[in-house]
Amino acid sequence: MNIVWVVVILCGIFIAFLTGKIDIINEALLIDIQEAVVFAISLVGIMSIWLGLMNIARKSGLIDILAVSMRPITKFLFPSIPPNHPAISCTENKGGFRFGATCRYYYYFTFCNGCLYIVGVLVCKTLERGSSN
Amino acid sequence: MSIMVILIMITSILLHGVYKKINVYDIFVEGAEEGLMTALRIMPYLIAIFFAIGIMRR
Repeated sequence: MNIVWVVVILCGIFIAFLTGKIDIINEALLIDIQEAVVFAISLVGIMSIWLGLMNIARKSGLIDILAVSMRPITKFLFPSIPPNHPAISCTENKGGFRFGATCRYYYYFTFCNGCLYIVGVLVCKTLERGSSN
Repeated sequence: MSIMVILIMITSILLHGVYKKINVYDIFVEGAEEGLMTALRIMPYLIAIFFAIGIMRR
């Protein structure tokens, strides 16, 4: 990841240098970083809503019901995981609050929502940019 | 139909919470706080990636 990041940035700078558009780097610094912060702030809303709802579902035991009812599927998909493993059911660590260390379903669900949201926003932005050009 | 799925999900989560007699509002706020923390935690990564992609794209 280190190497990839550095190579991407250096390639960009090198090509900008070759094509003589150095001022574009400054533009990228200003506009794209602002865009990143705005994007992260806009992520707070959807993230909070789903994490809050999933917290309610977890505390009220709805996720346990879901885990139990999904057990045939999970047993079929992951036969090596025992049925009361924390990755399959979250009944053991109900007391824990933290995001990473608690229920995997909960984590997985919110993660999928976040990814879908990010992909959707990126697709929308690309389409917007394509239509404006 | 597909619009109704999210509504049904939210309604069923809330009604199940009320049925189990838990403090729905407090627990929602607690979870939302975690969302805020997560978004803050991924912000540096987003800035790094957006910066690299921005230089590459222009």
